[in-house]
Amino acid sequence: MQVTKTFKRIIFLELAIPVALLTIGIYHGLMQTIYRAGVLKETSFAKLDYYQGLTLHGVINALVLTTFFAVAFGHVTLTFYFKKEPNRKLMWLSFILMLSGVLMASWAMLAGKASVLYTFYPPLKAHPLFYLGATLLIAGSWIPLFDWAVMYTRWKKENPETKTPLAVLGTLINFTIWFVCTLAVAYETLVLLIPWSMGWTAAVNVNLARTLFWFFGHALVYFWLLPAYIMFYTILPKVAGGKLYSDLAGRIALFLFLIFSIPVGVHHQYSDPTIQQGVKFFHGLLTYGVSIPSFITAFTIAASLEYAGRKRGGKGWFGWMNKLPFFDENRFLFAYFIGGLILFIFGGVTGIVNASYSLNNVVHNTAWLPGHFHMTVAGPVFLSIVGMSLYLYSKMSGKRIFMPKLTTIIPYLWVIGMLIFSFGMSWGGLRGEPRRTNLGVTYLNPDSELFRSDWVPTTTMAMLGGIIMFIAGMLFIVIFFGTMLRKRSADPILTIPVSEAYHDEKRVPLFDRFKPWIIAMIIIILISYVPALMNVNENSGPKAPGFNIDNPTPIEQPAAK
Amino acid sequence: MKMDKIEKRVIISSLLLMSLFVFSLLYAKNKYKTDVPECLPYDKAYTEPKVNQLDEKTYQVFSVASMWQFQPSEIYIPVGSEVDFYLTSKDVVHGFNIAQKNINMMAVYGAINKTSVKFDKPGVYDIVCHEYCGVGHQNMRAQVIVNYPRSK
Amino acid sequence: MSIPIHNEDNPLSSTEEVFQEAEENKDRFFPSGAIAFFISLVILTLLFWYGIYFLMIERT
Repeated sequence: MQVTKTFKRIIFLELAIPVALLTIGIYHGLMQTIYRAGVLKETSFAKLDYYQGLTLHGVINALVLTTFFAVAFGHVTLTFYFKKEPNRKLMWLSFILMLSGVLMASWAMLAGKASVLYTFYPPLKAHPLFYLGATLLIAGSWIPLFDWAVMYTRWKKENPETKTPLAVLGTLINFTIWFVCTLAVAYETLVLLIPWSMGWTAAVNVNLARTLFWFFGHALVYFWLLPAYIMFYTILPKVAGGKLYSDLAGRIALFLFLIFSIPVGVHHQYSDPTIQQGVKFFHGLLTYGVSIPSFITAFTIAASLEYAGRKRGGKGWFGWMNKLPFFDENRFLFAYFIGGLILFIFGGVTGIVNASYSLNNVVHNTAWLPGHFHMTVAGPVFLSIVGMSLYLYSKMSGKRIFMPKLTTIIPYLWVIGMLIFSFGMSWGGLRGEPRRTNLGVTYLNPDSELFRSDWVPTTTMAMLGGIIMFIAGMLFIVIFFGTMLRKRSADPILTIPVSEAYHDEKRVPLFDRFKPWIIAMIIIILISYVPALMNVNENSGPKAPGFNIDNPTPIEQPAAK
Repeated sequence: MKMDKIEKRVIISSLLLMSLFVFSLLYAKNKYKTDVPECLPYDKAYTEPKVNQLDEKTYQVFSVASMWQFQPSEIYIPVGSEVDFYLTSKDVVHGFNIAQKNINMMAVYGAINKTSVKFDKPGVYDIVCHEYCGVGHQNMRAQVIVNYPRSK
Repeated sequence: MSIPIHNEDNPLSSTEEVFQEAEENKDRFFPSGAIAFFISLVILTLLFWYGIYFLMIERT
């Protein structure tokens, strides 16, 4: 379909700005592996300090890239399926708020006033503009949901018996999850952290802040993942040359995410004080619940790809895999999707380990954790974001892809780098290697009394993986901007491959309606979080004053108790 | 509702797999006492670093994490002792990880964490801070030294 | 052709069901490979999970 210049402009900005920022984001990823391997034994390099770089890495890659893309991809999806553009003013407002937030937070981080990492746990204190920037980024991303809800309601009135397109359903479910979970982090920043950071309140309840953050924090990863899942269900089968095995399976999976994404946050706090073991165990059970839609997806996508493989003559239990278009330049999206799926096998499996209550003692906050989450957020999420960004830009600008052969190879290079990196990190983590730590200064410094020779091979592996990924990432950025610099050679159109379903089940009203699921979501959240918040309230002691990263002395006196 | 038979079996198998894990976790909790840290209400008494010997084989350690050390930083424990670790923070959030013994706790201001462990092998056990806590984070490490008690 | 009778539990009447079965038979596909993949995935999960589980027990 044809789209307006304004629509294109906003989408291009929302896609291109994060890709440009990836230069900084991926650079800092590489740097960390170099520090951690002890190749650099300093606290900073090129005027940026380790923990400042770590903050930039997490915020740019895991918050900015993902949020901007989810909004842009949502706009594109709704527009394509409903053949109607969203409200222009609201699109601009959303973009401006998000961009302002990013600029504020970036200033704070680059000025060294917000080296608090993307989780910003108090009482380590950042400059107020960091928290405000994060809040604006999130608030800006709320706006599209309300506009899309209006578009959807109108469409539904005109099409009461038609199944909501699966991609649209996924987008609306994803942003519903997002809106609900971000309420907690918005409360944390607006009520707890910003007044404290400005000096208006003297102290903060750290346990409450953490619990609110993780109410947000786990659902955050599904906000990252669901756009990729939407692509796997509705785009990948077409691109692979096959059909979606079951459309209904996708809907069931999406609604299960709606009810289970949020009430599981305490599994990030298994090692925390104040929350009782029973509450933690319950969140663990619910987390097992949220693994079910991923198992459904694994099978359904495999079946969809098998269909494509057999159509091209694949035989045997696994032989069909060879017949898929891994290196087809005209279907480069396949490479990005399959690369992500390969990594997600390991990302998902290690995630189940992390969710498993007492098993968490073995891995929490060790290098195993980033080993796990780079195979999810930096696996299917990252690859589908960058692949789809390139695809959408190319189609909507009418410009051919720059270096198309290289474009198809990059995801496989990334996968190899990631497997090496994550293997090193996971193994190191099992040996006690901590995450979020500048190992080069002490633990990987032979001159230090803390030196751990058994972490040398694992950190070296992670560095090798990091170097390979850095190269792949930089090549991608070259290709993206190379494509931007090309001259238009085709008519610009908004197009998304749409997969046909093998089982195109008749509309099941229960899996095409929001109300019962939203009610269930709220009930489960209340059951899982009211006890947790009560625990925090009962078991917390004094609130904490603020601390700068370089000084054990609190910034101001705690309020008299 | 007409849902593909195989998809139904996929859902059931995943649920069975998760149930197997739940069973194993409960079994391990029962037999080996594996569990996440215990929850305690806040008490100022735990904010002073201490090592208490309750009897010949039982110790309590009140560990206080701060920027950038654990107090006490060297803890001597005889082989075969059971130790209850109590943990809090005087400032920012810290981690407390004794990898070889599954001890993994967060030290948080205004809260008390607890876990118990039996040291039946001699050796030096590192307590590593694994949560970012400022510029000195990578220097923050303590040790539990488990040895045979000196004969009297 | 008989008039289809619809209800929530059986959205397709018997006539429509037969018609759809015939349609699907033209494009018959049994996902044996996906089942093999899924079983492998379950085995991989068991290997990782019990690997960490026994490591945990060893460390108690």
